Amino acid sequence: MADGKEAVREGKVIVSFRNVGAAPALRQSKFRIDAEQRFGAVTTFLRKQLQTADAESLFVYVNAAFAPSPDELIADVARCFHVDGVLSLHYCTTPAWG
Amino acid sequence: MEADVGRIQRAVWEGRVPAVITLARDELTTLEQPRELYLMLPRQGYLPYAATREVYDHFGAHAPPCPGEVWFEASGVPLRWTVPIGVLFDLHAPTSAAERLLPWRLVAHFSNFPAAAVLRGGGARDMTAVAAHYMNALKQSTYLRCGSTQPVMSLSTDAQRTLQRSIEAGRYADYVAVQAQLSPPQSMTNERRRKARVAVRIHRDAGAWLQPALSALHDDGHARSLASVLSCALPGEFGGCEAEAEAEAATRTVLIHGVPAPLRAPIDWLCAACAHPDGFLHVVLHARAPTAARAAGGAAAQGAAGPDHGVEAGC
Repeated sequence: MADGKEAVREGKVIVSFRNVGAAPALRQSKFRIDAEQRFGAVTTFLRKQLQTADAESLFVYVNAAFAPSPDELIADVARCFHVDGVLSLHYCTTPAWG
Repeated sequence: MEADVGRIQRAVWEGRVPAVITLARDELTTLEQPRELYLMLPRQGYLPYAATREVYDHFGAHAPPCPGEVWFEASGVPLRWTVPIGVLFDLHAPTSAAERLLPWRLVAHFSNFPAAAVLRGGGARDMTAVAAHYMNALKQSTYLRCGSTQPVMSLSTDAQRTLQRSIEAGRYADYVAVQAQLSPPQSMTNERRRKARVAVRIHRDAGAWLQPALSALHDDGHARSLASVLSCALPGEFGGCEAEAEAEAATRTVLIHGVPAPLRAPIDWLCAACAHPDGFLHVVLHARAPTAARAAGGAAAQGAAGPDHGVEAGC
């Protein structure tokens, strides 16, 4: 499951984004994000990258399986669910793995 | 052992916190003062399911004309609806014996939503956000325990609905019927079983909970204790080895379902017997030493059964 590489290195987590359905793709898919923030910050960051309006919905899933609560710590989510040191996130504009 | 787990689970499900809810004084918009609202809140439940509709019905006529989302406050702290009620009570109810009088005093608000502390979506009449939050927590804990969300995903629509209803209405019988389908699949390999994680959330204050990524067994195969989980989750505060962690934990209150928890208990046994319906074992940490008052308050809040359902039973 989460063997091999460390999920959090020097206070950062590597996340990889992948679009699903009608959501637009990102030009760059991997980012280093501060580990000590709440997971909600990931969605805020992604919104900025995609330039989506606040009224538009955006869903972010971990390992194409579940959506963490925005008030969880990114470091904990990464340590629990990373694969080879990367937290794999899928995003879409309609609920996908509801 | 099996029988113990069932007995403890049932006792834990029957736990209630008596609460009295008042409308925030500065949000009262009528001359006449509404009466207080008394409720028995299920420890396993969530505030939106247990109280929000009642608050709309009871205080709606006295609230501001364009109410926002309902939210609750206890001893000045905004309560997060994403955390089970019993955990909120163990965290935020006053700890001194003098102040610790039941019912638990809550204040309901219709405006000035504390968006920095509480997630939006849980204070509406519509419970979609709460249901989604519960399912996502359940999927997370299942992923940790089984290595995938497959047991949840393969629940039939009917089973999912039964599960939701059991949480909403606090019906243990419905929950048990579905719970058996959520255990790790038989096809799980030994290798995977060894790597499976424990689903534990540690609450210390009103901030984010900690969710350590730990396996139930040490590398050498012996069972991990609660003390070891605490020392791995909070290495700066608890010593590195289990003995040190135990010594440190003895100076604090470590609560599970309002009861001081045995630090040497194997974590997988605690998870099996005391996990919440979202699949997580919720542990509450307080800085001060355990007192008789805290223990008594916890047991009183548990409400159900006698002294024979203590968490220590199966260790």
